[in-house]
Amino acid sequence: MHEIVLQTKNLSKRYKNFTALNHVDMTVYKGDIYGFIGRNGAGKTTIMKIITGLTEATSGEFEIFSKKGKAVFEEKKRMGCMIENPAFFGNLTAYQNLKYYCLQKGITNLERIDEVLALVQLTDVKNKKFRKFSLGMKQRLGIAFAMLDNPDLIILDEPINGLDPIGISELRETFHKLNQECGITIIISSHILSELYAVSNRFLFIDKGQVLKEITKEELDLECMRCLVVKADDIRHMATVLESKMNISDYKVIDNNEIRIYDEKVKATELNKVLIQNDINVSGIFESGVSLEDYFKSLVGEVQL
Amino acid sequence: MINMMRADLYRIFKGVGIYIAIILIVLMSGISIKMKDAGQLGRSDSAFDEAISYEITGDGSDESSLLVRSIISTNMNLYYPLIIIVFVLLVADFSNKTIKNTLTSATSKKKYFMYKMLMCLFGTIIFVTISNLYTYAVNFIVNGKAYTEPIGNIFKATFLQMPLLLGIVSFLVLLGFLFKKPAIFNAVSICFVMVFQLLAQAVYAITKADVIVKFMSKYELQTALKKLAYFPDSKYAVTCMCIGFAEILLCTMLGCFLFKKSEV
Repeated sequence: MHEIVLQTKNLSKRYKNFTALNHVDMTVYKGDIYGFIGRNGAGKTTIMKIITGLTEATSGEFEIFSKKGKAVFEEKKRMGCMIENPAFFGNLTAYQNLKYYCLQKGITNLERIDEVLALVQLTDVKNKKFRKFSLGMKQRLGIAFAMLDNPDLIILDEPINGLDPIGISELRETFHKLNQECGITIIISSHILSELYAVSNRFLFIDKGQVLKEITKEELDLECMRCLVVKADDIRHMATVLESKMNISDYKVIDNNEIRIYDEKVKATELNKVLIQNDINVSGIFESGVSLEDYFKSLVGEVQL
Repeated sequence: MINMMRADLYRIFKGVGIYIAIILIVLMSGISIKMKDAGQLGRSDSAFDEAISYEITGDGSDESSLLVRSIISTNMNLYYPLIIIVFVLLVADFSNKTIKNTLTSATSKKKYFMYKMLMCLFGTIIFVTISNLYTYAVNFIVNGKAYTEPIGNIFKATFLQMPLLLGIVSFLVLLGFLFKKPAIFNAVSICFVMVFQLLAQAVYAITKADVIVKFMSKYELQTALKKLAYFPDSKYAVTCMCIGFAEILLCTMLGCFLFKKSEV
């Protein structure tokens, strides 16, 4: 059984005439790289703000490291965060800014500053004032700040924004390294689907404050993969036929009326013929397979992203 | 809280704000000492000043031996450096949005508010005390014994003025948490004292009513600071202290409540 790092139950946030979050349930397990996918204003940042204590939920509750209520704040030292844009003092250098937070958090080992700066490739500009940083450099400093206290959980809001392709690639490697070598659980939000897909192992699709789907990468791959969708009345019998008559094992039973076959060699016409010969009433057979973007669009139920 | 204080001190002395406040003090006190006259911001109505001066000295006698305390009596001049202190300690955190970093990783909203309030009050105590002692020391060096009085009097004047100054700083802290944005904070805090004084002057100019002059000479901030520097009767001093502490308490409770409810 996976250890739960973060869990929300019926988390809602309402402003006067606007519901930012509507009964959000989500679970993040230890070791996850958990991706929040949603459009601008979907509620990604609001969830993060509630979790990190920047705002309060209107209703519902959440647990971090099995603590809830006021006890959550005792666990803050186990969390590293970057919410919205990276924010630092413009008149201080990158090193001085991180030293400020080291002093604030009571971190006595100042060598840690050089370690995190090296991790985000900012060593060369550590004595440059923050206000002279490019957006990408600011993002990386924000990530360095989040990692300053050797956290168990890192929460990053749109960390990829403003990074160039090489920066994105390096950051992706950094996330994997932190996750696999240091065992850090990471929550990342983004509206850049392809990038989030490249780093995360679990996803939360959210729109207009509502959770559309919580899904693992494997499940997402299956949902998006090119396949033959077969709709029939006797799924059990059809599965037997697929295995015994056609030697197909790469399939998945979706529900009582649907099977998806992922074996690319299978042709629809041949499949249809075999199923009919074995007395299976096929009501539909068609090819499927969508891009991440199309999958998200179908979840949101809109044409335009 | 100690860690946050260490961090803030590190940051403050890396910036320029604190040095601007110190330069302001050095200039204001230095000019007053050299000119042997306490300058002041705000009111310049001679009739108004005469009324206060009469109330303080009784007969308007020569105050040259009390030069330092006459400078201390114009400690309303410190209002603007005190705005800088609140800005550097608090509003800079909002303007840079670094408050998010602190709240997400180091402390809760309540503790953050209490820390900032205490830090601003503590900073005020240090700042005003050093300012008064600096004035005393420079006066002693420049003007000699003739213009000097026992240092105990300086401490006593500082002590009597402190609650009201702390009260006004707690109000500035409340404004900081309320407005968050530096432009609004600066506009309101700078205008606050001017609006009050202009209003008072206007009322006096129109009515010429002694009742208003006496009322103002009693508890209006600038007037009260002036009177407290000259050791008024204990009833007046205690009342001023109560006003100062009540203001601190009110601003702390209101500010903490509003900040906890607000979104960062």
